[in-house]
Amino acid sequence: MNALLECNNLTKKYGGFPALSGINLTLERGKIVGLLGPNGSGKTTLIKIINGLLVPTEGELRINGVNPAVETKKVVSYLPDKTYLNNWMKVNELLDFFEDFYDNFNKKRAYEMLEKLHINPRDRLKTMSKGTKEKVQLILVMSREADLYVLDEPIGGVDPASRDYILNTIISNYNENSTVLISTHLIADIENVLDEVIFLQNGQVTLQSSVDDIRMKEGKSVDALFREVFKC
Amino acid sequence: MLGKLCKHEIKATARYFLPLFLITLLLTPVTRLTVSVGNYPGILGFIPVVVVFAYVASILVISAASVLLIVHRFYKSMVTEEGYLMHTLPVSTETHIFAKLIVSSLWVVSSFLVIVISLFMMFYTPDRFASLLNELSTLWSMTSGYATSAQLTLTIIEVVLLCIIGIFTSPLVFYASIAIGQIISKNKVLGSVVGFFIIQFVSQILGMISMVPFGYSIDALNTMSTQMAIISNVFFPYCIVVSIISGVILFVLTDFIFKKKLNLE
Repeated sequence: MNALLECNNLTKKYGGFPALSGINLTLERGKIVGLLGPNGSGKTTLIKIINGLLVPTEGELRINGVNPAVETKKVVSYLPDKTYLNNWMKVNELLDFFEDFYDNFNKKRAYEMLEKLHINPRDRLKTMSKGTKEKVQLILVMSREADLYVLDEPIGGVDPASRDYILNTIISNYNENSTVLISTHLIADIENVLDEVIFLQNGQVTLQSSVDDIRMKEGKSVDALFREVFKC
Repeated sequence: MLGKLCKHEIKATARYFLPLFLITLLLTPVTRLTVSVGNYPGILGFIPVVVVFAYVASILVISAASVLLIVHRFYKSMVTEEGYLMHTLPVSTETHIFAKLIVSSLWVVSSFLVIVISLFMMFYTPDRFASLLNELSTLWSMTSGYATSAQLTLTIIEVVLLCIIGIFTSPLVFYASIAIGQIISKNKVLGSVVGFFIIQFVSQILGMISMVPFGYSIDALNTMSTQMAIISNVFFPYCIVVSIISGVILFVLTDFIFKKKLNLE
């Protein structure tokens, strides 16, 4: 089977400024991958290209062998680092909405997760705290049986206890054919679940390696390596 | 997918429109009753003033609301944070724009109907209705004197067609402005306003240029038998063609920008 995601010389310039320059990258199936890098390293730009929210200036990105379009949006489940859901909707209305548009949405699983995190499906988003909203968004995104999950800062605003539950959900919800790409600053928190890491710096990939390799070769944790590589 | 998008779009906008419609339709009999009571003694004289004011205001709000809400809804769902949801649905940009156009047409037409129904409820008496019909038939026979029935039929068809095209495509000028706005400025509202003026400016110039052939054929126009012939054979067809072409241009422009130049913050 071909790679899930491939970037060939992927470049994105804003005006003249390169946010991504000549990225070559391959993601295999069945991995949890950390996309790590300091602010402004191009993480969100890459994620937006994966989701078809930006068009590359040069080069290309393929998911299941095709450029981002309607077909890839069916198999990519994306959590933006924004509160992007309609505030006036109730949680159960949002579930209906997702079920309407995504064939791979598993409503039963979503209801189970809501119950676990004590979220009332009849509450309106408007009335919820920021952290609860983030949980709802994550539940919606993880309840899709997608090929690629792209999570941009998924646990930033969530309390540590729920964080554990969410990370567990992420691990237990994906199957061997799907891959989870997580962008975050909270490396220490997610390090244990990662199979692979990608370091981005100034729009370039400086490292792509399995977490085991880092521990073996460098003899340190990803968090420690990150602090060393990106030392200010 | 178009159907599902329309359904969602109707849900998202109905929560503004339906209460407005309801208010107007409830205020209509109240106003009529209040006014028909007539003599209010001294201090109570304010009652009819307030009620009539509220009624007129509700009508004005409905007529303005359809445009404002349609523009607001497009802006909110396509270029703010909600855009992250809309643009990552497995739906093409064309389908998005079509869904928005269909639903906004629906609201424009229903707003119009609500206003007509309300005015009818407000002012209907058998006498007035009879005299209205009378006026209409006089108007009809007057026009028949100037034009053949073929010309009249053609004109009516053209006017209906122009209305349909107009209702369906009129939001596109705002959609294109918003699309342009998010490219040219970080401040999307300001950008959209600038985008609107750019479109107006360009379309004015193109409109002027497109009138040039009329200048050359003014003699031919003069030899046409009647005013009606000019209207039905030249003027309305010209309007229809222009509105279709400008609709298509604005649609393609909006579609292209959202496909290639989307810039959500």
